[in-house]
Amino acid sequence: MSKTKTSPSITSKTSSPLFEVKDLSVVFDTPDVTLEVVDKVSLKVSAGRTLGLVGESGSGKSVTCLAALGLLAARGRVTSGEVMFNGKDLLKVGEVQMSKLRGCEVAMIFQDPMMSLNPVRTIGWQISEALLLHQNLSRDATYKRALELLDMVGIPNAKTRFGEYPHQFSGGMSQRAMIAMAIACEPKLLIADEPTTALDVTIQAQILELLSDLKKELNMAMILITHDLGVIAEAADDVAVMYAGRVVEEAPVLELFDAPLHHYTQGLLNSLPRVDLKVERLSAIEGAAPPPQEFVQGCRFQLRCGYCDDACTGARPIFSQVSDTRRVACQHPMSAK
Amino acid sequence: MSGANMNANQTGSTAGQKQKPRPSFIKRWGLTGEWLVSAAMIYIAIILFIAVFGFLFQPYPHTQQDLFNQLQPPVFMGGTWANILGTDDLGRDVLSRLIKGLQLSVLIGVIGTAIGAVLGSLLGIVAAHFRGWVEEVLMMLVDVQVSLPFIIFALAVLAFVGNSLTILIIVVGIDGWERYARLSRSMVLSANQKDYVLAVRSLGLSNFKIYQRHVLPNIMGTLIVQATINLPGVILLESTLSFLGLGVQPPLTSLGQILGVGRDYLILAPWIAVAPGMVIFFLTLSIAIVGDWLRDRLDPTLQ
Repeated sequence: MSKTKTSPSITSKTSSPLFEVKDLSVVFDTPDVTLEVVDKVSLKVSAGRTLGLVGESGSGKSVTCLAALGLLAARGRVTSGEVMFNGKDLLKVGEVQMSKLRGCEVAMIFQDPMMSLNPVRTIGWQISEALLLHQNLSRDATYKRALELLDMVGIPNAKTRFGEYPHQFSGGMSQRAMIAMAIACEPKLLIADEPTTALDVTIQAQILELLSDLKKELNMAMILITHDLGVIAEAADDVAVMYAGRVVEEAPVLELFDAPLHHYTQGLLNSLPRVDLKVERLSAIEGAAPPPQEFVQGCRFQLRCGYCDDACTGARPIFSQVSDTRRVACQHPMSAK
Repeated sequence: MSGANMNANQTGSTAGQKQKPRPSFIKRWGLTGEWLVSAAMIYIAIILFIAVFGFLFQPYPHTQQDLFNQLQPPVFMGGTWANILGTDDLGRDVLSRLIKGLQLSVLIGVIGTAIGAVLGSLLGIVAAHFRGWVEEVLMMLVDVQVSLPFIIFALAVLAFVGNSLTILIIVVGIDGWERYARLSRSMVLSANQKDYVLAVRSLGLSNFKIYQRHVLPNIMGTLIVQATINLPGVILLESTLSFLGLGVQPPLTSLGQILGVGRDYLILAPWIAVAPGMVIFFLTLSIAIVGDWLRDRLDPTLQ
């Protein structure tokens, strides 16, 4: 259905990404200092693809996406960069235009589904609101469409569930309801901010499957923010690894798992439990990810990296384009196999 | 959407088993609560009915004096059916004055509470939304209001500005705004941090709509309960001011004013003070009981 809706101008230039973040920088103003939490981050994702955005807590994954949608509110401000969506720079369209785009063409789901639903409104009310916000539907049509959406995201007994409150929903069901709200207008881009972190492992798999089904069905582009490489392996097509406010490596998912180029990526992969290898003890990356006030000159991973030398402490490592789809920001990348 | 809400109430009982509702203070006293709430509601309904339609069956005009018939006891203390609740020092019928006084007390109480609730809540929301110097100025005003004994403030205003019913209602209404302001400010601040606000913002809702449709319904329950706590206070404040002679001025009358007059005759003719006193006591108690019950009802997670 949405495929017929997409305008020919987009289908003709399929090579150009639907959503592209270029050199986005975000700072948080505190009374004492200005913290640069996102430093010249570039990302892109095309229709029908999933970009996995992976990194530790505080690496700027969520902030990048929130900033791109203009949802930072008072917490931070964008200092440079552009966010191209469908040929428009989202940072320049203004708040009115932006709220028309949000929820309609770009939607977002959040980490804790139990907290992301208004506790005093019924699920049906909230889905209807999402529907009515951008579409002109009659009461009956809204109700029908809401039931359809509940059905689509795999909530059984849609008619009963329609009138229930969020506290009557389990975590997985709440996340399904959130997804129903997010896809109410068939957005072109869905940003999922750790959609499975608060859920059981079994439910996680179901939600990821649902998301990838919906992505195919609606031909959406998707950005999947997570700190779980298992989720990335399962659901992403391309991966961008973030560390301390910067993207350090970009690669298609299989290549990344096969042959990571950045030492940080390697460290992350080494700390994953493997079923195919017998390992006595999982290795961990020494130290902790630095908070924004302790960001250092040069490569921000230098203090935890075994390959660090003078070159790393000087200038910011620039991206070397390894192939069309791969790039890495490291002075001494691991050799590609 | 009303159909959906009905549906929710039906299914609410089955899923309510998961969470045990926190018992209200009525239940913690070991009372079942239901009949008490019903009684309180019936009492409030009667009071409201009398306040609105009481003039239809008021036996005498409340100002009609009968100086040959002063301080007559009520019918159950040996009086006559001519003056069911007896007469006061000027021979005026206590029942008639009670009906008239009730009308004014309820009017002042309800309008005064509404003024305080709307004003305070709005200022609280404004403070929480704009933060910065707006918030600081408003919260400073709140602190001033809190640190000032309100009755002194009210007496000063009434003494300087002069007394009229409108001014009295406004003064009584200002009482308590700071409580709503603090409450709504803190609740809006915490609600704004909640993910669901971010979620609906990401759906494209405007700030105004987010407040109107999501934040306000979430804090409404608490504000309404605060209003029911405040309403008796407002009625008592009016009574206090009238008792002190600065409130409602004759020939108008209110419960507090009747009480104030009755004070002089407490030994000789206790009924003059006891009748309005009892009405005030049961009215404030009933409102508190219903408010408590409302608190439980307005929170869907407690249903």
